[in-house]
Amino acid sequence: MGRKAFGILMMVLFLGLITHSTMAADLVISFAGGAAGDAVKDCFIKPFEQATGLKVGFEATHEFSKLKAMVQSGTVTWDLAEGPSIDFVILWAEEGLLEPLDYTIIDKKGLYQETLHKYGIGKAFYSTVLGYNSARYPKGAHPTSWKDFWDVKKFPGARCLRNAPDNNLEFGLMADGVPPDKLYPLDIDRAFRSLDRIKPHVKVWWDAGAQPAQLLTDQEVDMASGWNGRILYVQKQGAKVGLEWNQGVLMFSSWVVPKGAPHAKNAMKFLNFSHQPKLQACYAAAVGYPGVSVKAVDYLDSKFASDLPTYAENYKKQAVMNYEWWRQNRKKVEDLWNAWMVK
Amino acid sequence: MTGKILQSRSLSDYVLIIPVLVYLLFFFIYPLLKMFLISIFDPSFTLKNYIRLLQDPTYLKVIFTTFRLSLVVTISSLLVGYPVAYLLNCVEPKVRQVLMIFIVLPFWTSILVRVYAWMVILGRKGIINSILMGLGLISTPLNLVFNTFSVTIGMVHFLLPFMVFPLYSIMEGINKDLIKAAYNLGATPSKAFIKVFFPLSLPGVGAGSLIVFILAMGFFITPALLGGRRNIVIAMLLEKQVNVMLNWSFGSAIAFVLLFLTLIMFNISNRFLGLDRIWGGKS
Repeated sequence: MGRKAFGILMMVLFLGLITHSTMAADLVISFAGGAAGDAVKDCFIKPFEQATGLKVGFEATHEFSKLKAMVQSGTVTWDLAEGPSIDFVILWAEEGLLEPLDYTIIDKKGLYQETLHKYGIGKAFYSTVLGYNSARYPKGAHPTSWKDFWDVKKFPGARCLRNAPDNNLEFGLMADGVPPDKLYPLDIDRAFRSLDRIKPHVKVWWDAGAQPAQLLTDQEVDMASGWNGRILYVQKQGAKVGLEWNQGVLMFSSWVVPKGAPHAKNAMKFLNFSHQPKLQACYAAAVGYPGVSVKAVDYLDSKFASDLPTYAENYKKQAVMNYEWWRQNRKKVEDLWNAWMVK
Repeated sequence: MTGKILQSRSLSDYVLIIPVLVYLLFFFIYPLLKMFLISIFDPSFTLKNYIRLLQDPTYLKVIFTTFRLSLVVTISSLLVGYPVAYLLNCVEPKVRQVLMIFIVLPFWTSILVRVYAWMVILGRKGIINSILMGLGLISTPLNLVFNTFSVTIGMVHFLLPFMVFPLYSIMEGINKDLIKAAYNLGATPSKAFIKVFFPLSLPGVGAGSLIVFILAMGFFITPALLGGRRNIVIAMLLEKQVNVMLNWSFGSAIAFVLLFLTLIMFNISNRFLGLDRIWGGKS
């Protein structure tokens, strides 16, 4: 008898333990871990909890397939998730995986309007830029364009590009002489023909965002495409790595609300809360990826602001990714990319 | 002999197996079946995913690459693992315990850390290149990493225990008196090994190779991080379909083709090496 009661007690405790993190919360957010995840907690979640008294649970994961599994099985536990770029957000919305955002709660004023979409809203801007070994190519004599990246005679050394069509098609076209503001619609054939020329010199094709910065730090490669925040991070650690803003491709990640999210309204409130310029400045300072609030820059040290992709001087040097083109061509381009890679 | 064992089993033996069967039914058979259905319904019945897979030269090429890499890794693991398993059989139990710890130790390290460790060893500024350049043997660093060589080393490092343990358990079961008998009949040590010990250890070779091969077919992290463009394996394309493109129908079809190929390998190995001895079929 006593044994049975003990067993039931243990069972209750166990169930309580596994459900605690999500059951007790008024809002559950999923986002990538690491430095960016810590910044979400410190800059957005903690102040939100203090201001509203709501309890926020979170899950550090980057597996988007989990979102699809949740929605399809009708067991959605996330209210807000860090999503990929807007072209994917639209594809997911078409599959019925996302809840439309409530712009009566989210105030559009003071935000970068191009990041506001029916099913997704900008989380942070980031740029895929040209990173280089600054010991081998000193500043001033370093590669400053994709033409230079492609020029293995003028700049000998091992290259590193991403194993994905994203940005690489744009880089190929810029290396072939297309100006950054005349890229779209992308000439796919021309891009691949240009990529053919650099292919033999690419030693590593990266998959994870941390790779190019690490490979540059270890001097395993001499030039790489990489996300500006990752390169900035290793620079701060003292690595001999340089970053060229010219012809970088500017993009933004996004927040999405899964279809059937139990606390969708709180998710909207959280998004609106997180748009305060001061909080956005906190996030940008922590990771080097500025959010969607235009005024955030007023709260940043001007010396630091120059490291951000949205800083006026940097902004005008970059190309801006056209999500509409990518949405229309994504499936075709992914297949072409795989075929090209193994050719 | 098998028959006698089965006859001597009572009903309660079969009852005891029910929990395992129920477990397998719910957590293995059912998901597998569901995945198969996903691969042929998109949303209505279709074979387009399988047709796409078998017509697309990209996927066929990558499947072939995966197959070849798994074979190279399996043979390498066998060449390294067989002497290790043999040694484990020869040494004192105390020494064996220490050696076992060395074999199992890599299991306690994250695969990412192990992969990165190989980059540190094999890289341009890595230990091997630094020593060779320091000695003046080479003037430019050797390309040791981001190719088939580094992928093979990284995978063998991870998979070696799966080769060593089946080999060891089979070798332990070999009656050592048979070797002595061979000596008595005038065999040299090498002849005794080739004619007596090695053939008796073949089920271990088969089991170890099969486990390593199956695991190698599904490898993802090591080829992605230590490999180059020529080491793109099917698991990498599968991951992208499932996690990024969210095309589960096509992803499931890839998984099923992979499973089918693995089953073929299993069947071949079983026929030639009599694997059922490992699982206790006939002794």
